[in-house]
Amino acid sequence: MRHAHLASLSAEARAEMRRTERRFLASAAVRYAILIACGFAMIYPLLWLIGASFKTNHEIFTEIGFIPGSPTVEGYIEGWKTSTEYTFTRFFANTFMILIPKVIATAFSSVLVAYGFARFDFPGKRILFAILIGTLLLPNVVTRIPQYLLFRELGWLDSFLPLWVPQMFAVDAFFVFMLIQFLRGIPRDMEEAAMIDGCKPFQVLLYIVIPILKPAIISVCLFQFMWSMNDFLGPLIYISSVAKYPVALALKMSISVTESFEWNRILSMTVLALVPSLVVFFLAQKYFIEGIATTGLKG
Amino acid sequence: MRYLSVLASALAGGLFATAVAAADPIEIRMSWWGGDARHKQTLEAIRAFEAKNPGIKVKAEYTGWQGHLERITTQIAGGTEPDLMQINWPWLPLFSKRGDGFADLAQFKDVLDLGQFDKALLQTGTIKGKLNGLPVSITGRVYMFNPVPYQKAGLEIPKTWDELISAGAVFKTKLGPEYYPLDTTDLNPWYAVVHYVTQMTGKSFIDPESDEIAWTKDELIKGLEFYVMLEDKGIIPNYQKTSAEGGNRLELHQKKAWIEGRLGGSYEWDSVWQKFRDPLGQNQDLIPVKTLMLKGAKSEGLLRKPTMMFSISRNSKHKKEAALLLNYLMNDPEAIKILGDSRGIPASKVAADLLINQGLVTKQVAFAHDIVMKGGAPQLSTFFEHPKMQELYRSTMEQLSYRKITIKQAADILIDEGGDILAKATR
Repeated sequence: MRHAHLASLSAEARAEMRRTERRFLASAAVRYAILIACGFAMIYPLLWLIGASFKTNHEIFTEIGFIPGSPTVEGYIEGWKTSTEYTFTRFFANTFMILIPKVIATAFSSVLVAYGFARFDFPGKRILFAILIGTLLLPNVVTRIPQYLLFRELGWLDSFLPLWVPQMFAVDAFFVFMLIQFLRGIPRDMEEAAMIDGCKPFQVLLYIVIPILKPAIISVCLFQFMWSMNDFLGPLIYISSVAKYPVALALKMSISVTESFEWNRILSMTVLALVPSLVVFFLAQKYFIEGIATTGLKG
Repeated sequence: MRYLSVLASALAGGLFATAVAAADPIEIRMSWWGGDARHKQTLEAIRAFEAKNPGIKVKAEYTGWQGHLERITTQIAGGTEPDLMQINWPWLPLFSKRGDGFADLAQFKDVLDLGQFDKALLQTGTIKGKLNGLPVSITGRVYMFNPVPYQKAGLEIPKTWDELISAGAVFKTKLGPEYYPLDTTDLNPWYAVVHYVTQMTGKSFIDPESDEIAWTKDELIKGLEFYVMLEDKGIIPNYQKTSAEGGNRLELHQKKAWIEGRLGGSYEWDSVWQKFRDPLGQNQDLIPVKTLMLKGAKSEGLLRKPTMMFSISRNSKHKKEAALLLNYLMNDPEAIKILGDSRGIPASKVAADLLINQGLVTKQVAFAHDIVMKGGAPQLSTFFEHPKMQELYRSTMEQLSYRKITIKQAADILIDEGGDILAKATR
């Protein structure tokens, strides 16, 4: 009797366990199904872009699905040639000519300014900081024409200088702010120890602060990289020679109001234009997330 | 430290490049916006010009359409605009309120043959007696129909407004509720009103002389009633319908309904025929027709305007050379053949004749253009397409289509606010 009871109990228990397991599986299945569906919906435009770049022009607007019926690389080949005197090789080279100095200058100047604001007391600091943050709120449109006039007086139009030089003066208040927030979360003990050991402020920056700041600096570089890659208006206004156009301008070159244009070429080149940002992002992803997470700012 | 030196050498490279560019003997800069074909053909024409005029080098500065206004605005504000510029017609009053924003082209008569251009047309580029812009081409709105849905419904392509209106019900019963005899994209609802009232009164919306609104409120109300009737009878899709299918500003060639032949036709600039024809493929067609007429119309009421202008910078040091290039592009047979209709059918007589006689223009485009040129069209004011006016047309027609405002309110808004915009813009 007792034995039978035990057996039945364990059978019941086993059934209960199986039920729990089933319930768990079912809920996991539902959760993953929802996640996969949402994830797919989010990534669908990107998949469509890649798929459409292999489609023919007629197919792009008539078929909803992203898998091309008769895949062709014509868009890539013809798109690369462009309708200008140059190929996309030139435009990609220009983009990096603009990007690399810009990113380096941003990292360098932003760190220096952020270090100053976070670690030193100097007269007028509060006002200067308020002004710095104030520029965050200033719409770019307001400064466009005065800046243009300034660069004209300097004779820098139609060169990359208007795109590089401002970055050497930490003009992106957002980055400075991000770095300051990061520095605020770091105890000063190590810096003080270094000072006691005889470090000058600049050495503290170089040997202590910069290594600690590394994830945040990488985030700054990444942001600047992606934003500059997409920057359209800056090059549009300052660069007048087609020979100096970056990719962002070149992509829009074929889009006109009255002419029909080859969408598959534009889409193909858009896909290629996304590649550098994606590669850099995935390479630096670990630091990027860390940098954003620890500053308490969202990207 | 190492990257500093890289930076320094890169800086020097940038400076060096600008120094070299400035050292050339006579260099004129020319700017335009456009697409692939226009870029290729214009570059080729420029090279041919350089070959003919060895003393002059032309630097081409071209972009797509997007951002071109911002770019040219900044350049003009800074006085660094190119010597020769392609300027959109509605931009002319933005840059040259008193006619002194650009060089007066009449002073280059010895190198620039203005005799090839119609006097009335030159008037459209003239501000306060100064020829600020040379019209490159003329365009007008033409009804174009896709014969396939009409055939399916057992109908002929409409010739009058009545035929079009009666086609609405046939489309709905024979083809289905998703079929419309006419489409209205973006500003088309407003152009339908404009067309109706212009035929009725013979006047254009804004008086070209005084730049004031020429229609009375009652006339405008009749036009708006006509538009609402078109919506109600299912002749055209309303805004609710179009925004469900990708938005009212989605252009025809990107609309699924257009590509699949569910829209019977549209009222479009003759110059965009190719763009809207292409996606229809082999099995469909796009046929331009003579403008639809109202009973008792006072005028054909066509909307005809210059598309774009070429202007010469007032700050240019080489105005004469720029005028020489302009004349070459507009009037020289060599350039005309290279350029083709990449900027629409040219306004220059010698160019238009050459292209049409030699068959360098698609037959349908030439036919549509003929309709535009021969039809009656009251002169348009430069302010008709002022960006702020366009915004007003758009928002008012949208509110009306959603029935957020009544016809009378819409007429009040268009006339009162339109009057304010014009008063400010012309002051």
